[in-house]
Amino acid sequence: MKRTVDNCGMIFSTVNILLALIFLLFPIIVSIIMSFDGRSYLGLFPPPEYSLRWYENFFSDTYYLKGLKTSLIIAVIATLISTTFGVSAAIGLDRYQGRGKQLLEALFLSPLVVPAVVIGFAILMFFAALGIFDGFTRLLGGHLIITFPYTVRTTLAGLVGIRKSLTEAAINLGATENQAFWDVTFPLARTGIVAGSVFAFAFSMDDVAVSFFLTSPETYTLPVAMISMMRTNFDLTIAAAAVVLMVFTFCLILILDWVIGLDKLIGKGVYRS
Amino acid sequence: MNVLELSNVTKRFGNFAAVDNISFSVEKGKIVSLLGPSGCGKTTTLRLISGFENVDEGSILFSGKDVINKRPYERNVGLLFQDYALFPHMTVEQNVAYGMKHRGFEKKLIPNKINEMLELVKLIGFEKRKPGQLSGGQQQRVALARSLAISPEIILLDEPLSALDAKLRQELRFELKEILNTVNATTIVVTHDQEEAMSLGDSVIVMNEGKIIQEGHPTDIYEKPNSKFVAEFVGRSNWFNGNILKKADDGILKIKTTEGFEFNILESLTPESSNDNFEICVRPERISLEINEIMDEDSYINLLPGKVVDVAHLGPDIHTVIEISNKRMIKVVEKYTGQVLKNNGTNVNLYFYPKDCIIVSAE
Amino acid sequence: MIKNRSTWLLLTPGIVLFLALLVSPIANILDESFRLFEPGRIGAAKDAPYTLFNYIELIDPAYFFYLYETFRFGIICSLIGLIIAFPIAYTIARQKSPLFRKLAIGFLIGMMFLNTLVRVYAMQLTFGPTGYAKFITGIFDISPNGRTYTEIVVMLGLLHYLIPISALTLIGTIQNINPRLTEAAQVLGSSRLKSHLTITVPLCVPGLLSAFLISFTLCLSAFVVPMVLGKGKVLFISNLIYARFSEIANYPSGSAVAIIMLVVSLLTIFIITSFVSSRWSTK
Repeated sequence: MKRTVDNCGMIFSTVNILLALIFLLFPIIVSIIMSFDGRSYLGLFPPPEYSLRWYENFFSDTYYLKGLKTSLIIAVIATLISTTFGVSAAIGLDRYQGRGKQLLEALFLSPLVVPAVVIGFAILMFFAALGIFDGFTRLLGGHLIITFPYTVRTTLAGLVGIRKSLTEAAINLGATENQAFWDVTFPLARTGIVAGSVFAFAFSMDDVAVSFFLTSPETYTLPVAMISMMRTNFDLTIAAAAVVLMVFTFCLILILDWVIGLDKLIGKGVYRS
Repeated sequence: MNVLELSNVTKRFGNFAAVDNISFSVEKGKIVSLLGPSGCGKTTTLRLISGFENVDEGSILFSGKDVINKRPYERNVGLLFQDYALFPHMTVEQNVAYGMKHRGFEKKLIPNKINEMLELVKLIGFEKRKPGQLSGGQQQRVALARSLAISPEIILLDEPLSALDAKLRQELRFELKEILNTVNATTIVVTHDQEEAMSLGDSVIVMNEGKIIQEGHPTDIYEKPNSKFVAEFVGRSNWFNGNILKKADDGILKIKTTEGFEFNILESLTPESSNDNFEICVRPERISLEINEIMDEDSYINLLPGKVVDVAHLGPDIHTVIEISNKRMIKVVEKYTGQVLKNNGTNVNLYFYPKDCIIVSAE
Repeated sequence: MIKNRSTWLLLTPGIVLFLALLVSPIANILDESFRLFEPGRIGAAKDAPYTLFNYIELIDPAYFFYLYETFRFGIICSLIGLIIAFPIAYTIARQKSPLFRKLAIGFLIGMMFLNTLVRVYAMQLTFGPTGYAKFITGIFDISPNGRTYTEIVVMLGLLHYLIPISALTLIGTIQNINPRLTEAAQVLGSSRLKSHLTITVPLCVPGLLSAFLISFTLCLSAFVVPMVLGKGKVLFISNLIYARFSEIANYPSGSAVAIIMLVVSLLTIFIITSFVSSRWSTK
């Protein structure tokens, strides 16, 4: 009967969602708890005793700390430059009505579809051909390219939503085109711009594949440091490092919510239930 | 037996009673209008009948059988949504056939029924079109055909004409009634539009704040509203508040209003009240600015002097606003039959009969 | 308003950035991929002759294996990810409570932002040899070090990223579908399940394809997940590039693989996108 079919469907769906939730959360929880493991070796979860030793390890290990510092510096600089160039490009795209518009837009968003390995490898080779072997410059270049699409996309989405009638109203009331832009368009687009930079920062901190190719023995990001440690010394200091990164992610989400409101990010759709 | 019977139905959302202990029934083949402002509970009532909300108290009987535990697809109801909810990825044919397919109708009978339905709504030839290619009125007809195709026990229409422009509304109103009567459908129309409710319904139920305020034939509701709310909702009104002065003979009462005017009203139309205070409503179309032949009753005709402040010619009607005392405005509506329009500032007399005074208790 | 000069001024920094950091590098490896490699050298000589050798070398079943593996994982994981994500997206899309939506979407975005390495490490801890590997493989009676289990762990690693992303993509699609439509279907007589299968899902197809496309491209370019969780047994195209580059410094061959990978990715996107827009162009 239709009723039983529906009841089965509901059960199935609920089970699916619960299992998915558990699947997504369980490894995270395991990592967090294990980072406080009191044992000096890597044993089975759950730990019998707890301590902060792994965090002490992490914060006293210059190898990790250097990676963290580099990650942060690159993320900040890349985000700043990316946001500036990206917002500029988004405004340009919004105004530009010429023939190459679609092409330009595709170009600016292309790093999203080009495999990270290809980007990393290509930049490495290119810089080598130019004689640039400095890790920091290479990393910055790579991170600039991969963060750029995020700033453009969210800013453009924000700009597109601003009705032309608002700027026209301002001009009618006496503002010049530039004034109208700064007084009307820019404040309204601000949330899109900030959201873009939050995304850019997050994906810069997160990047592994591109950075993997572009690091040098002197300059490396935290994720890359973690990979080498995973290969040589698979211990729970990595767990502590992971938790540090998780805290960063969490803070970024909070900032995103404060700036733009998480439910607004997806929008409400055309229909209210 | 009534096709539909609601008894003491209550539905709460949290502490708020959207539907508060309502009871009414619908006879076979009749059209009932549920009329009320937004938030009065009419849409919730609809959803309770169709099964998308569960009642907290009370029972809903379809031909004597209680359906409150039945899911929407287990009830035999037709539901016409306000936005028609036609399936955009299916053709007109497929839309109309949907209900029959999923209720297990015999496959070979379906094409005939589709044809029959489309003929009923005058959309033969539109079978292969998609909803996106139809106009608002055409979409509504497909939605109607779709709901009627399953021969439901009762069909529920949610604001059927509100999405259409005024002219189309008038045309479709008549067609809709015709179609419903042809198939002898038992219907409930839910609307906030008084014209829609009165023109479609064999009887009208006025709702407010989850309760039924008045139920009856459209004329009764209009002529004898039981409260200020109903009087205001179903038509235009001019209101006076007054106390009974004295009782004249011939069943006439004399009332003195707060502004100091004296009217004659009919005792037979006056409700029982613990005090002498009443609200009196005079509809704008019952007020004349001229009087013709003097008749017997004219000795009790009411007269108010005033000054014209605004005249609007609306085509078939003239709407005049008259100031009768300091800032007190009265609306008058007359048929335009070619008469000369009055100018602002002209002094006029307002005439209205005692029988045209609607009296409700002051709350 | 086409304000030419200032508009071009705005677009210039972005264009310059891309020329310098994307277009030229790719052009460079395109060039490199056609050069002859001398074993023993690091990369190709400056004036090495042009050749198609690097590409011809790749027409070998062994290399098709990498492509096949990558595609296989890509298709399977993207499909599974979609199926799991759909009910999640639907539940969130139809929720009215703003707090619930905020928490749910925040959770999904958090899962999306999560550092790949953290994810991979967490999977390794949980499903690896120091984790529940023995327990799980014991149930199914397979070897914890065998290929089957490794493949499963790689798939789980990919899914951990794909499910949140698919769900986020689908929420937008589902929200744009009129909730009255499934109600209309149910009042006409179809069960709730049937109403979703005949109404919601067909109307979601463009969104489903979009989510599939995003998932698939992510799988194609997956690098860290197969590298760490694959333990050398499961290898994707990106791992092949890395191997060429790091182990034998055969840059021309690495470049050739990279170019092929780029072409395959772009082609896949192009094919699926044009398929969607041709079939579902608005009436």
